[in-house]
Amino acid sequence: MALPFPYIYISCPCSDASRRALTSKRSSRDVDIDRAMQDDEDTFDPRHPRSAFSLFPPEHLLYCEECHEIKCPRCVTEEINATYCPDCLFESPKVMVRGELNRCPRNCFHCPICTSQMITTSIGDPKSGPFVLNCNYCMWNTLDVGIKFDKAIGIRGQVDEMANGGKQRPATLKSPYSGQAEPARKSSLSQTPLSPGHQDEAPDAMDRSVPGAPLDATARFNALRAFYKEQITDSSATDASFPTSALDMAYSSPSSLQRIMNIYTNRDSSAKRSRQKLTIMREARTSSEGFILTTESTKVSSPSIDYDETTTASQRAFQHPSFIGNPDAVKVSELRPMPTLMRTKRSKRCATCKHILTRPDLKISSARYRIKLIALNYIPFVTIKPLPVPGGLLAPVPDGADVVLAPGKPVQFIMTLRNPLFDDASVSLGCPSVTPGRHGHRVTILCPQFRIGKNSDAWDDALNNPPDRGTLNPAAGGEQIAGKLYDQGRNWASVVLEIVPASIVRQQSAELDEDEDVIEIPIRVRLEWTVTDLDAGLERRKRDKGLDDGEDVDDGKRELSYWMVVGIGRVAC
Amino acid sequence: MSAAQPAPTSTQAPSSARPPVTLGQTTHLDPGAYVRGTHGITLGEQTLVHPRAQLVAVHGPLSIGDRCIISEKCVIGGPVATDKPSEGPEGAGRGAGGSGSDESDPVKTTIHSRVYVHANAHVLAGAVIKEAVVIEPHVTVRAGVTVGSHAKICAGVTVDRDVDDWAVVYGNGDLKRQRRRKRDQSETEHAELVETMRLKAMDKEREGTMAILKMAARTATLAKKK
Ligand SMILES: [Zn+2]
Ligand SMILES: [Zn+2]
Ligand SMILES: [Zn+2]
Ligand SMILES: [Zn+2]
Repeated sequence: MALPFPYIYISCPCSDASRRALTSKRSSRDVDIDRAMQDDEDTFDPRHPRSAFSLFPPEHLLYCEECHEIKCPRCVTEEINATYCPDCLFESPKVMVRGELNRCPRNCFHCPICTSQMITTSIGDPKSGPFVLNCNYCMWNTLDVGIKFDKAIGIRGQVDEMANGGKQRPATLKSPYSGQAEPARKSSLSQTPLSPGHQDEAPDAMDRSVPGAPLDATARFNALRAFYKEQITDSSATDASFPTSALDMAYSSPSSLQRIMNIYTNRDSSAKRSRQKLTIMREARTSSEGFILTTESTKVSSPSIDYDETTTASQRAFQHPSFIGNPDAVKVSELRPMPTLMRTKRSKRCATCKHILTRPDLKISSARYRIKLIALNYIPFVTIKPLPVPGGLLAPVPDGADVVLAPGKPVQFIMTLRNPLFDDASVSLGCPSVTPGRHGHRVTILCPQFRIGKNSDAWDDALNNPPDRGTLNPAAGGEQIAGKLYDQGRNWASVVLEIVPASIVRQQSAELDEDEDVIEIPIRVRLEWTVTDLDAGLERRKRDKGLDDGEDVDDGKRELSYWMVVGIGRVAC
Repeated sequence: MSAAQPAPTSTQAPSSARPPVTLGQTTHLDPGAYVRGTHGITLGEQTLVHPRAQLVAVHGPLSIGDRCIISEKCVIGGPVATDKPSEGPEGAGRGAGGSGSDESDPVKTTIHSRVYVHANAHVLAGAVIKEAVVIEPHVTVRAGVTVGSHAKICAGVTVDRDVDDWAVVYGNGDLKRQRRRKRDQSETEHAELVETMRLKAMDKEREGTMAILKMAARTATLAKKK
């Protein structure tokens, strides 16, 4: 795995389907007991292919105060609060965003060569221009494609109206941003079979080959669409089973699905129909219908292009979509500056109870959150380090080198749990004595049940207790006796974890699977605590949610259990 | 590095321990800059050398043209660690496409006019930097390499081969683009127009910074006299 050793992952309970069904009726005690028993029975296997989908670093998890559950990115729903440009931090109203094609409608652009942000500079009078967009990194500017601007504001509008070379874009092409957003939303089904081909030619080459009707990709798409729609209308007059609405068919509608199924099941009739159609429908023929000869364009663009003048694959990919950029650009002079993609601020809700888990500050320039219920404020933060004994493992160095354990030799680790709650919590840790998987490593937690103190004021603690308490005292603490804590402090406790790695025997030819030598220990963590400051908590929740749940009697008892996976190191082999 | 502050008394009269430095009248070599080696160092007119920049004439003479900016923590004529010019000849020998004039034992390092060397860039001994080149932070120009005029070496790139005029080297040093294509007349004009604007801005920046640094240096010497 990607993290350096030792690492901690937590399995979100939502991956357990049976459990999800049960939690909906969480008031019943019996169900809880059933659940606990069932959970204790089958050990979580971190090597199971499914496990990869439920394991998350603890930092990525949220906590729902209504369901009293950990929430992973899969069990939250997101909603967009605001759409804004990350470069100029202007918010676009929701209704405008689609028309603006999700890109900054003002002056923000990115360089088509190196993708860094561009700035508007004057190449004449600093006030009256003319202006260009300039990339300060690779020194590309819009003069390289023959574009300059009269005004320093509203660059997006000016770029949309200008073709490379500075000429006005054809009038048939209303800039997509000024209202015509249809091509973006077309389903693939509604495209006529010929339409994918039209993207293969460079528009500017086409400009030269068809002098009468200089259509660019978007205009040609519309022309082709209109032409074939007309053709279908004509043909449907003779063939009633193929209605015009087929062109705008939606996959989701049951009636269109029915129609598609009919085409496949009655093969005879559909074959007949297609033969019939062939005689009636014709293909696009003139350039006004959106037709273009590919041979001409290749003839134009093929002679002697310097290798330096060609575009790279990533540069072409950056030019998508085709009605803003030019993904078919062969030469760098055909590239277009790309308006900045908008970003969103989102809030997250619990998928089961709709309680808000995170909500960002609505001000665009602020990166803070107004509500953020992160799981690490509710579950203990776990750290692991090797037991400092002579001849033992050294503490891991931050260079990310692997921790390698010798097979058959017991190694002790100190696992420290830090309580973020303002109430004492009792913890019980359960883990299988032998890890699941092909290589069973023996694991023992010397003290599986203990209490950790509340996360009180650190100053209170310092005043009430002598200063040396809570630090490691080699005489009293540091014991490795079963049932006793290794060490303890204000809101934390350490236990010793002993591992006897199994030796990995392999045949000469057999290769190890990737990370097969990694020791991962599943540990069931079960927390119990009682919320003492219940009134304040309730009040806060009411304020957050605007919900009145007075009738729901809350005894303040909380219980949380989850599987945690500890990656310790690798076995030497 | 901070321990080895030489603190020279005057920019115009180098002390005996320092290499012979020839300065233009209007050039500002900050007293906080490090100058070392035995070979000659020549600086043109209106050039600005920031404090903590290092001019190393250990491997051979150093020549910097007019109206350059040498930013802080740059090393010109390095590497500093070796006393012998062992790195120099090796680089000069393989710089076949370069100037080819540096075959003799002391390796000459040349920076032409209007070059902007950003902070923490290293120009090793034997390199030739032509007019109006921009060298961004953390760039290393290897020995014997010639960087063509109006080229730009983007941040972090190590240049180990010659760079054409008007080229931009970016990414990991493997990406290159030409700011001006030879065949295209209008494009050449455009590129030159934009370049003029950039050089104007650079002149402004240099003059402003020079005024500030001169004042700071004067205040520092006054305070020391007291
Ligand atoms: Zn989940
Ligand atoms: Zn913007
Ligand atoms: Zn760029
Ligand atoms: Zn919930």
